[in-house]
This record gives sequence, C-alpha cells and structure tokens, in this order.
Amino acid sequence: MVGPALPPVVVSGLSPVACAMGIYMLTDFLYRLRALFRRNAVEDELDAELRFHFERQVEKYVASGLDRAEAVRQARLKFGGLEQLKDECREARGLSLLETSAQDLRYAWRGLRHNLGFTTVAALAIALGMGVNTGLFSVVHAVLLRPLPYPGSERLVSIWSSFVANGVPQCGSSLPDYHALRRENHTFVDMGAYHWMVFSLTESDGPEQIEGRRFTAGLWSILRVQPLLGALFTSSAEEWGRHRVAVLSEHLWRRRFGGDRAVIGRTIKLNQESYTVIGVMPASFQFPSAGAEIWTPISYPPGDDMATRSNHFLDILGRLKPGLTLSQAKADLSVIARQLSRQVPESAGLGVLLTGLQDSIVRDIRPALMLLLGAVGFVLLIACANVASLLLARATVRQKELTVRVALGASRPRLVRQLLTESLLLAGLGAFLGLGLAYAFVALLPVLAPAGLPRIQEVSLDPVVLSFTTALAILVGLAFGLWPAWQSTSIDVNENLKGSARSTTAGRTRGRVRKTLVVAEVSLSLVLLVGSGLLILSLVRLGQVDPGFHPDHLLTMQVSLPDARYHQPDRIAAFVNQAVTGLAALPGVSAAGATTALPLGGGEWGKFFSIEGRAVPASLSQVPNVNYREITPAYFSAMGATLRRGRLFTAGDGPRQPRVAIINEAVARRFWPNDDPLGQHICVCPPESLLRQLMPKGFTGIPWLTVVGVVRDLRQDGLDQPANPEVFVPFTQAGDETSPSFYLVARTATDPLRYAQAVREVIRALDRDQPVADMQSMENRLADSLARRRFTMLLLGLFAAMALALALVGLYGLMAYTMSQRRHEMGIRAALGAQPGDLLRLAVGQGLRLAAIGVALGLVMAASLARLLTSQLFEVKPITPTLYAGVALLLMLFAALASWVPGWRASRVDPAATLHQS
Amino acid sequence: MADERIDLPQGTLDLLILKTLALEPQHGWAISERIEQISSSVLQVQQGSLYPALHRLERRGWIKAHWGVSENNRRAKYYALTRAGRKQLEADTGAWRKLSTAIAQVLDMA
Repeated sequence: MVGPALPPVVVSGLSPVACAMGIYMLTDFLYRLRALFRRNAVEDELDAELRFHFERQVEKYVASGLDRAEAVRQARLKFGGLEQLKDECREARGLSLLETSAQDLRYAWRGLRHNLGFTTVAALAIALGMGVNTGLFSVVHAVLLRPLPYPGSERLVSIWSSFVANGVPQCGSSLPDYHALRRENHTFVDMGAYHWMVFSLTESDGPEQIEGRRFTAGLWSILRVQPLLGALFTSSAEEWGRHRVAVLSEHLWRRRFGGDRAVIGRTIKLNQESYTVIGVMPASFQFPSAGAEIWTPISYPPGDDMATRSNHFLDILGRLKPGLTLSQAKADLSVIARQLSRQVPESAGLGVLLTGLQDSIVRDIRPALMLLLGAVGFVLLIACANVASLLLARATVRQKELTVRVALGASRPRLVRQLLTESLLLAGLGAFLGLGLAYAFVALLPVLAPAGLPRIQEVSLDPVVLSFTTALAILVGLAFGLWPAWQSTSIDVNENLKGSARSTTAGRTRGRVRKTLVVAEVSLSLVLLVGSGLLILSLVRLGQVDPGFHPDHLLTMQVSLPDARYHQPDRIAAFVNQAVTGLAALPGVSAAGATTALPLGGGEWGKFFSIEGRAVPASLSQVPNVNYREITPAYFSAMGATLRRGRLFTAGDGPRQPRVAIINEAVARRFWPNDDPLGQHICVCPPESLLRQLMPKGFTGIPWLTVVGVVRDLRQDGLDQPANPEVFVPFTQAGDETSPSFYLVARTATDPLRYAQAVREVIRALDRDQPVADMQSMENRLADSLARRRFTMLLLGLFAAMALALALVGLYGLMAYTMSQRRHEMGIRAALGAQPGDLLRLAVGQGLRLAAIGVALGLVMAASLARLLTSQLFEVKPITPTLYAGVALLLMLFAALASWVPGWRASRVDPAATLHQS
Repeated sequence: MADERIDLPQGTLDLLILKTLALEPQHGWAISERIEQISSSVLQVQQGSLYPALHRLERRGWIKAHWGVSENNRRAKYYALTRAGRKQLEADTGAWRKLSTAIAQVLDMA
C-alpha cells in the first residue's frame, strides 16, 4: 500500500541547481507514473487518508463534549464537499493526464458536433489534403521506396553496354561480351542475362501469341526466387538440344491449363517446337516488369549468328558481392570492357553502364512522382492554412467562452491542450475521410494509370502508408492548431468581460494572420496552376507534332514467325508478301504493308553505316550507326508517309535485282547536308577495309545499296523524341537478315478495329498455327505513347484545381468573416448614404488586394520552381510569360468572385436593423 | 474568538506545512491541529486547502508520505520533510521574513 520511497539519486558533476531540477523532474515523473498505473491504489489511499482525518475530527468534537451525532454533523460541515476536495487533490497530484485527455476529447467532440458547418468544411479540406497525400505516398512507397520483392535486392545491378563513339550511348550486350564480363569480374557473386521474346503457344484451341523472357539459368539464383510448382531450369538447359524446357507464369498456368498440377512434365508447343513444362512461377514474380508469361533458357546452336558479338540484345543482371559498391563494380567491369575493346575488333569502343536494379526500373517515372509529391504537399499546406484560418475565425467567436473558462481558473496550457485536442480530433477526422479518398484512388489506379507503369500493381494502403498517414495527421493537427490555440488563449479577462473583444490586439493580430494565410494559399495555388499549365501546354505542343504519317484509320499488328518453320529468308519474304497482298485485298483496305520496326511499336535494329567513296574511320568504334528497317513496297503509302525525293520501292525490287535503299531526312541531313543522296551507294555495314579485317575468310565483297528515295522523318520512339536516322531496304532484298518478326499495317476505310477479325483470317489462311499479336489502331499507340504525360498532367491539374478551390474557399471565408465583423460599420456607412455598389467595391477591393499580393508572390515562386519541371516539358520554356499572365488573370477573376459574394450579401444589409441590433 | 480568525494568505500554507513537518513527521489532521494550536487558533486551516497542498508538495518532492500508526492506534498517512523540502523551507522562511519586515516598515511609517 505504501508508495515506493524514492530511490536516492546521485548525479555527480552537475551543479546543485541542475541536480535539484533533475530530481524534481524525476519525482514528478515517478509520481505521475504511479498515479497513472496505480490509479486505484492511489484513490484508495486518498479515501483512507481523508477518512482518517474525518474520524479524528469527530473524536475531537466528542472529546470536547458533543454527542456523537452532533460531532459527525459538525465534522461534515467543517469538511465541506468531499468530492470537490478529492478533485482538488487529484488536480494537485497532476496525475490525471489520461482522464483529462478523455475529458478533452469528449469536450472537443461536443464542440465539433455543435459547429457542424465549421467541422464539415474543415474536415473536408483536411480530407482532400490527406487523401491526395496518402494516395500519392502509397504510390511513391510502392514504386520508389519499398525494396524490390527479391531477397537482398539492393545488391542487384543492371548492366548495359555502350558504344559512345558510334553514337550508341546505351544498348544491350552481346552473348560473348556477357560471358566475358561474367567470367572475368571480381566484384559480382554471379551474373545472369535475359531478353524479351514473343512466343506463339499452340494448343488445341488455336495459336496464341504470348510475351515471355529467355533467361540464363543463373538468373533464378541471382534473384533468389522459388517456383510455385515444379522446378526451375539449371545451366544444363543452356546446352543446345537440352534447352526445350519452359517455366509458366501462374497466370498462364491458370488461364490455359486450368491450374492443373499435372502440367509439370507435360509437353507444350512453343514456336512450333515441343517444350517440356518444368515449373510454374507465382503471380508475384514479375521480373523485370509485368507481362511475362513464360520463361525458357537462352541457348543457341553452335555458329548461330545471334550468339556473335554483333548482336547486342541481352540485358545483364548481376548480384554484387557483399560490401562492394556500384562504383567499385563499374571500375572492375570497365577494365574488362577496355580489354575486349582492344583485343576484339567487333567490340571496339565497348563501354559498360551500371545502375542499381530498382533505380533502373523506376528511373523514368521518378521525376513525375516527385513532382506530384511536391504538388500534393502544396495542397496539404493550403488545406492546413485554410483550417488554421477557420480556427482563428472561430477563436474570435469563442472568445467569450474561453474568457469565462480563464476567469474560472483554467490555466493557459490547459486551454491550449484542450484546443489542440480539438485540432487533433479534427485532423484525425480529416485523415479518416482522406483514407477513404486514398482507398478509392488506389483502387482506381490500375484503371486510371497508363499501362506499363512499373510496380504499379504493388500499390496498396499497407501498414507503412497507414503509419505515414497517422504521423501526417498529427503533424497537420499541430500545424494548423498550435498557433490558433496559443493565440486565442492569450486572453485579457478584464477587457473581454467588459465586452470589447472586437477591438483587442489579439483580434487584430488574428486578422493579420488570417490575411497572411490567405495570401499564402493564393500564391501556392498559383504555383500549382502554373505547373499544370506548363504540362498542358507541353501536351498541346506534342499534339501539334507531325508524326510523319497519318495515324488515323491505320490498323497495326505484330507477327513473329517461328524459326522452326520459317528458317529460310525466302519463306519469310513469301509469307510477308502473301500477308500484305491478302490484307490489301480485303474490302475497305486501301493499302497494306509490313515493316520490321513500327513507329511507337518497337523492333529497334541498329546497324553500322558507310558510304562509298567516303574516308574510312580508323577503327570500328568510329563507324556511325543508323536504324535499319525492312519494309514492303506499299508500307509508306499505307502509313501515309511523304516521299520527299526519288521513288518508293516497287515489286520490281526483287531478290535478283540491283539492291536499293530508301533513307529518311535525318540520314540525308546528317550525311549529305549539301549534296543529293539519290544514286549514292551506301552499306548498312562497316566500310570494306574494316570488314575485311573482321571476316578474313568468308568475306565476299561489300553489298552496296543504291539510294533511290528520301522520305520524311517518321517519329519512331514517340512524338517527344527526335527522329532517328533510318535506312529502309525491301524485305525481298534482305537476304540472310530477313527478319521473321515484323509489323503489318493496313489503311482502312472505317474504324480499324472492325477489320481485326478479317485480318486474323487472312493470316490463319496462310498458316493456321500462326498467331497475330498486339493488334491496335495506330491512334491508340499514339495515345498510349502520351499516356504517362497525360496522366501526370491530369493528376497535377487535379491537384491544382483542388488547391485553387481551397484557396478560394479560404478567401471567401475570410471576406465573409470580415464583412460580418464589419456589419456595424457597413450599417453606419449605409445609413450615411453609401450605395450598395460602394460597399461591394469595398469588399471586392480588399479581396483583390490580398489576391494580388498572393499572385505576385506566387509568380516569383513559380518562376523559381518551374525549372524543376524541365524534364516533364516539351518545347515549352519553364518561364512562359503569356501562361503566367493568363494564370494570374484567372486567379484574380476567381478571387474577385470569391469576395464579391460576401460583399454582395453585406451590401444588402438593412442599415436600420444593424444599427438597432447594436 | 471567531472574529480573530483570519484566512491564510495565498502561498503561506505551504510554508506552514513545511515548518510543521520540520519538527517531526505528521499526518494531515495533526498538521492542521498543530498550526491552529501554535497560532493560538488565529490561523484556520481548511481541509479543502490542506490536502491539495500536501499532495502538491509531495509531487514536488519536498515532502514524502508513508503509512504509519497514529496516536489512537489507527493507520494514518504520515508526511515527512525531504532534504529538498528542508532547503525550500529555509528559502521560503527567508523570503517571508523579508516580506513581513518590509510590510511592517511600510505600515509603521508615521
């Protein structure tokens, strides 16, 4: 029962004062702690102590001659109110932190319920701010912050090759280079390679084209992943002949094989060859991105061209040895690359690029996410300013209540705590509503977000996000509550009780602060408006970019002919020819063509480039690089591309005719800035002298092509990317390099997708096992290529609109409040003959003055922040005066409206009524 | 006699409690009795002030409480002065002497 005696505290080396302070704080703390956890014991002790006193008093009275009943009565009288005494003892102990908090909470809840209007507006403002912040943080957390779902993923490194002197800053690696890097490095536990591939899976219900990856066997252990079912292939599967094994994705397994566990060991037909299914990977495995449905080993027959140093198509992933850094690894691999560059002619100029895997996956989307995170931060700031302003206004209304409480003895810290409880409750309420908003955002994200955003499927409101929201809510509650709470409790009881609250200094300070808050809100919202304006302008400019072809009424699709059935070039060429002929013969199709690389599609293929009669560079590393495409004669007319000079290919450009080429303007500009390229001889290969060194045995002379035409640039990689140099050759003349994978395009009379079925039937008629993939209208591809920009723009626009709305509500609230405070003055003015118009001008004038200051500040802020947007802009300067002026004007207009309404209402006040009231 | 009783000026109750406890540890009732006795019943200590004051002083670490047995053989809560309390008593006594002397001087002005 006895309270614990305080342990002796020995604090040496401190001044006596510090010691005393320390002991004081300690005893105080222990006292409170005991009170908190032994609440009942403490209460019992208090009861016993007071009872003892009471009884002792009674005894005293009895001893002095009173009878017992009278003694008890007297003692009671002397004692006064027992409960009140106990309360005061509790107060003196200062132990009632929990109790008073609960009391504060109840009180705050009552207060909020009684002011439903205020509570609704404030909670909605916070909910908006918290909602967008929670939603966006959940994205940032999932995409940028959370480690990839592979154990030890921070040590996974993506490795690329580069040939800077050839104009190739970054590309995949060749198989021999990969083997050299893997064998000779000292910094990696292991390396693996992979590449993208399209498979046609033929089941009894027909062919289907699916996306997959080919892996070296080591990749599985580098990623440290396990199959859901069965096993993963090992290095023996990289031997040619033992390579026909496949691992399915869970999705494919469920979709095509009904989730049957007996699928392991089953034979499936992939690219017309028989593969054995050995395993199934769980749906969570999405390396390096979503979409892959099947994995097979990388394996080539001896002497295969793909396995030479001239094909750079592999992505390399390495796992760093523990404790080593990226720069150490880069130094290590660079040494190997330099050696290769010196010793192997085909690898001349080879360099290596290293990036952390996570970084390489999210690199493209990080700037946009950071931009949006900044924007939602602004929205939250504005929401806080808004609520703070509302609280200040409310403080004036509550002045009387607070004054009475002070007069009754409430201390200032106690009042501040109570008001803060109210703010925190409000923030909590807002956060709760905001979570609903964020939940909707996250649920809608897969629908709203453009395809191909990395890791977007991992976004969820997980515990980390919820903790973030909780922390933010507390921060927000303090941010908008602390100052108003402190400010509104600086009370001069005497003055206030006299009823002259309106003219107090506190009131004036409050007014100034509210104006400052509104100015800040206006300036922040202007920054966001300018930002989204810049993005909108960029999209407008992008819309004006001429892609070099007519994207409307164009059906596009991909066909990948399996090696097993189409090994000879002439078989491929025949298929291509029959396919385009069949397509062109469809009713409603005016032209059809094929290409190995479709704009906004894919199929990059870079090659060396030389011109007959030009000086020969000293080494291969200085030979320029161009993009190489094989096309059919009608390709350009189907695309609606423009021929600038010369002619297009014709059916006459056959395999035995003189070899011809068409170049785009980018090539003409670069290599014939002043001459006519027509009739010139070019080669998509290194110059003859260098080639002879490379292939001393098999060299049969250089295959010169004659330039017969120049076409306008086609934007290959997107409207925001400059046109690449491109060289086109006819499919029929491509020889051994004839590509089995190509795109078909058909110009249609009506909606392209209405021709989808007819087109599929044309292909099936040629080969009933041949699937068609990625069928889309060109307009769709164009829209997809802009989808990320549009998404960023939409979100930023949405945030800017929220910011604007909040700022205007803030301005409106301030003006409405000011007008109500000046009701008396307005009444007098009206009585003295002021016209409603004068009063209106007064209100709008004040609102506009505040808005103008905010706009001016905002313009300065926008001008200095807009540079951060540069990476998101397209042909728009961060500082675009007309845009800034337009946004400023727009804001002023809205500001005028927001202050006009309260002004109008004030001007309709009946002067007699107002004056009578006071 | 009732006329001669005066309420304690604010803040002086703490000082009187500390002084009372400087002699020996006491329980609450005895403290109030002692103060009344010594002041010849001029100073009246209300329970409503005494107990909150005791709890306040305990919280500040100037006194500490323990349960003991009272003069009439019952459990009672005894308070004793701590070292910090003794220092505080000295400081407060000095301050009070100064104050009362000063006030006396002013009042004694001719």
